[in-house]
Formats: sequence, C-alpha cells, structure tokens
Amino acid sequence: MWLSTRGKILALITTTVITLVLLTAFLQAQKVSFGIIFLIVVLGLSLSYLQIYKLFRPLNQLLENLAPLDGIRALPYDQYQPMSIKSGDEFGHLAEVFNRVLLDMKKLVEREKEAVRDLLEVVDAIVHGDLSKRAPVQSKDELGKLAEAINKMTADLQRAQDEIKEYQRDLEKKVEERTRELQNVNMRLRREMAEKEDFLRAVSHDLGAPLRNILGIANMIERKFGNELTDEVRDRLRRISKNAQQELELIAELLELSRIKTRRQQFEPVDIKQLLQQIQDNLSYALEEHNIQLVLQNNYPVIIAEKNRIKQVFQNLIDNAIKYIGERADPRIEIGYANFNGMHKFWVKDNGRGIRKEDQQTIFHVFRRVKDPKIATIPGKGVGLTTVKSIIETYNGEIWVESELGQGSTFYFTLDKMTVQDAA
Amino acid sequence: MELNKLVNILLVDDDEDCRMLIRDAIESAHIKNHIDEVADGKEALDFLYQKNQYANAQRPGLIFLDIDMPIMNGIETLKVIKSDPQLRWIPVVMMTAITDDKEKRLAAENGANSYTIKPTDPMRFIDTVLSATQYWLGIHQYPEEIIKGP
Repeated sequence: MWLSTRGKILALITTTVITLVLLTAFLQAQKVSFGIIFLIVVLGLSLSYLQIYKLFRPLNQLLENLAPLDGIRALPYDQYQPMSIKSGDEFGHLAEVFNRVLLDMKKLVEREKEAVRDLLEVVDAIVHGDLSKRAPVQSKDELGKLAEAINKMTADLQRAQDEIKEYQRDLEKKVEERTRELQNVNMRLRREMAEKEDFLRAVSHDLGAPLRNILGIANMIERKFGNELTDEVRDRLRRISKNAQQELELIAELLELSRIKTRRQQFEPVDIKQLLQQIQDNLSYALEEHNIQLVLQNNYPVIIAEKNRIKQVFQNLIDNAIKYIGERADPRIEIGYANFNGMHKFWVKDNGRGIRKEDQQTIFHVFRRVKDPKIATIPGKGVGLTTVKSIIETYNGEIWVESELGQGSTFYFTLDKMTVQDAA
Repeated sequence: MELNKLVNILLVDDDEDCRMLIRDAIESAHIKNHIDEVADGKEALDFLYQKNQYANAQRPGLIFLDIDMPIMNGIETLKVIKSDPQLRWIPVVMMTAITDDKEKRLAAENGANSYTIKPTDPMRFIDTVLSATQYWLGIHQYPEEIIKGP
C-alpha cells in the first residue's frame, strides 16, 4: 500500500528525471510558459503527496504496531509496545488512548496473575497438609470470591481437623482409662483366682487329711491286729475304709471340677481314635464283664486340645453308659462323630435303660443323680456329668441328651472348631 | 535286710495321727530304729540344734518332713537344714498331700532327697514311707560323722 523507502527514493528519482527531461524539452521548444506551468503542477503534486504522507504515517505506524506481520493476526498482549506519536492531532490522541489501554491491560493481567499465584500457594499448602495459610482477598471479582471460598474451605477443614484431633485425644484417653480399668479387673481376677486356688488347696488338704488318717488307721488295725480280729470287726473296718475312700475320691473330683475353668492344661494334638482305643483298653474288663460291645467309627478327627480333659469327657460318658446300661440281651455303646456347623459333634449312644424326661436336665447338675430305686445301688457321686459339661463349656461347646425309657440314651456334645484347632 | 541300727528317725508332722500311722507302719515292718517326733518346722530345728527341751536330742540320720505345717512349713525347714554344713548330709523325705508341680520343684531345688505324696490310698503312702526308710537305712552309706554326731 505504502511504498518502501527504496520505492520512495526510486519514485523521487524517476519523478525528478521525468520532470527534468520534460522541463528541458519545454525549454528547447522555447515553450517557457508550458515549462513554468508544468513545474508548478509538479510542485503542487509533490506538496499534496507530502501532506497525504503526513496524514497516513501515524495510521501506518498504529497498524504496524497492532499487526506488524500480515495485518490480520493479533499479538500476545505483552508484545505490544507503546506507540511514540507525539502529534497533538487525533492520531496523537488515539495513540495515547491506545498506550493507556495497553498499560491498564498489562497491569490488570499482572494483578490477576499474582492473585492466582497467591491462591495456588494456599492450595498447595492445603494439599501438603498446612491449613494455616490464608489467601489475600484483593478484589470483589470472581478471583476475590474464589479466594474467599478457599479461605472458608480451609478454615472449615482446619476446624474439622481440630475436632478430629480433639476426638482422637479423647479416644486415646478413654482407651487408656479402659485399659487401666481392665488391668485392674484382670489383677483382681488373678488375685481372686489365686485366692480360690489357695482356698481349694487348703480345703482339699484339711478335708482329706482326717479321711486319710481314718483310712490309714483302719488299715493299720487290720495289718497290726489282723490275727486277733473277728470277721465281724474286720467287715466293719472295711466299711469304714470304703466310705472314707469314696469321700476322698469325691474331694479329688470336686477339686478337679473346680479347676477345669481356672487352670487350663497344655494344648496338644489329640488323636480321638487313639484316645478312644486307649479308653477301650482301660475299660476292657468292665466291658467284657457286662458283655458290652463298644463300637468305634473310622472318621474321628485329630484336634488340638487338653488331652487329659478330652479323655475325661469320653471316659465319664462311656463309664456312665456302662454303669447304667442295665440288663439286656445285646448291650451296645456306640461313639459317633460328625462335622457340624463349624463344630465337632460327638455322641455316645447306648441301648440301655434310658433316662426319664424330668431327669434329662438335672443330671448335668452337681450331686444330682436320677432318683430311681433301681439304680440307687449303682455307685456314683453325681460329679461325672458336671465335670464333662464343665470341660465342654471351656471349648465353647454344648452337651445334651436324647433318651427314651427302655430304648437307650444318646449324649451329644460339641466342641467349637475355633477353640480346638484341627491339627494340620 | 540288715538296717543301720545306729540311725535315728525324726518325724516332722503337725498331724499327730499321721505321725502315729507312720510310726505304726515302721514298727509293723519290724524296723527297730529309734523314732523321734516333732509337730512343726521350728521344733524340728530346735531338735536338730539341741535347743530348749531338746538339749539332749540325738541327731537323726533320716528326716520325714511334712510340707503343710503351721509356724514353720516344710520348705522353710528344708532350706535351713540343707544350708547348714552340719546337717545337709541328713536325707530328708518330703511328705505332702498335694500333687503340685510348683511345690515339687521347690522341694527339689532346696535339696530334698525324696518327695512322697500322701495319696488317696493311704496304704500306698505307708508302703512308700517304708520303702524310703528301708532304702536310706539299708542301702545308703552314711559318712561317719553323721552317725557319731557332734
């Protein structure tokens, strides 16, 4: 549109040359008036051009500044330079306005950038867990509102965190208190258990000592004066011994019963099949005497438990079955096992005389025996089933009986698999 | 069995009937050794150190010592006996009615020579006492100074 400097020089030289050639031609043709007129026209045109140039130069500069490359694409705001047009006309005024707008825009952008940086700093602190920083609120615009929102959020977070900390401290204090209380209770229980143990020891010793003496003396009389005694006296001495002996055994059993829950024994793998075979061997005399068939299964588990206590459970139940089986043609005791809802379920089933409904609960209570004149002569103290129940309860198990008079009885019991782990 | 007739036996038990039974048992086995009796640990030590009414006591060559006794129990008495160079040679047979591992260990640690339990069958206990007596008096060889005394 506008000529370059080189173009302008070329245009000037061309114009000057043409003017000079034409002027020379006019002078040679002695047409001076034409020459003068022509010179005036050229001068007039030159002056007009200068005037136009002066008019468009600031416009040109403005355009170059706004879109220096192709006049279409806008520059990033910070690459605009202030214009240096010092003229006092409209163009000068326009440039000044442009400069001021540019400056304001730069300032505004810088301020917003700074505000965003501040916000970012606060957000970064929050991300890293520092809730103490607050964003400065410098304006009422969106950024200012954002800063306020962030500050409120941070304050809320801080409060929530403080509350959680307070709660945690409270909780810790409570746990500490409870622990102390539990420790106290535990200590008291231990002390009470030790006292109970001492008491039982003393009771067992003091109850047992005179009985042992009675037994000893009765025996010693027989030993020392045996030849001088009549059969009647010897018979009475034996009755003394028998009674004292029973009482001593009862004391021992009661002592053992009272220790089942307080004094746990060593846990070890217990092969139930082996255990039952052992019991069978021990009871072989009694079994043969009554012609009883003891039927064992093949599927008994191996459990981790107190061997002697588990043995006592089976022993007492089988003993009872033998004692109360009564007279019949084919006496039979069967030991069963099944896996049952996370429990080991065992049963001791006999085909003996059976137990009346009203007796089925009370037989598990200590010193409670079935009131039946037919079995009153069978020796027993009413501790055996209580001991069995007590042991089973330490394994979170249960014991119950199903029975019908004349048909036999089945004693079921369970052992919790969580308390008796299966041996690997 | 030929028993060492010079050896005296000291019975320490607060239960007089129990002492009588042991004495009866020993006598019924025709063991003629002299038997002294005291009722608690303090008396036993008086006897061994010839104090108070026991100024003329003969030092025993075998002690039956009950554990549960008033005033001074068997374990305390055992400790004194076994820590005295003059007395520690005397075999001590502990007697108890209680089957307690802790007590058994305590007796063993303090130098008991034997530990017998008064079982629910007292005749077994009597036989145990007799066996112990026959062992210590018949088989065990004492150092001379024990027999001669101070």
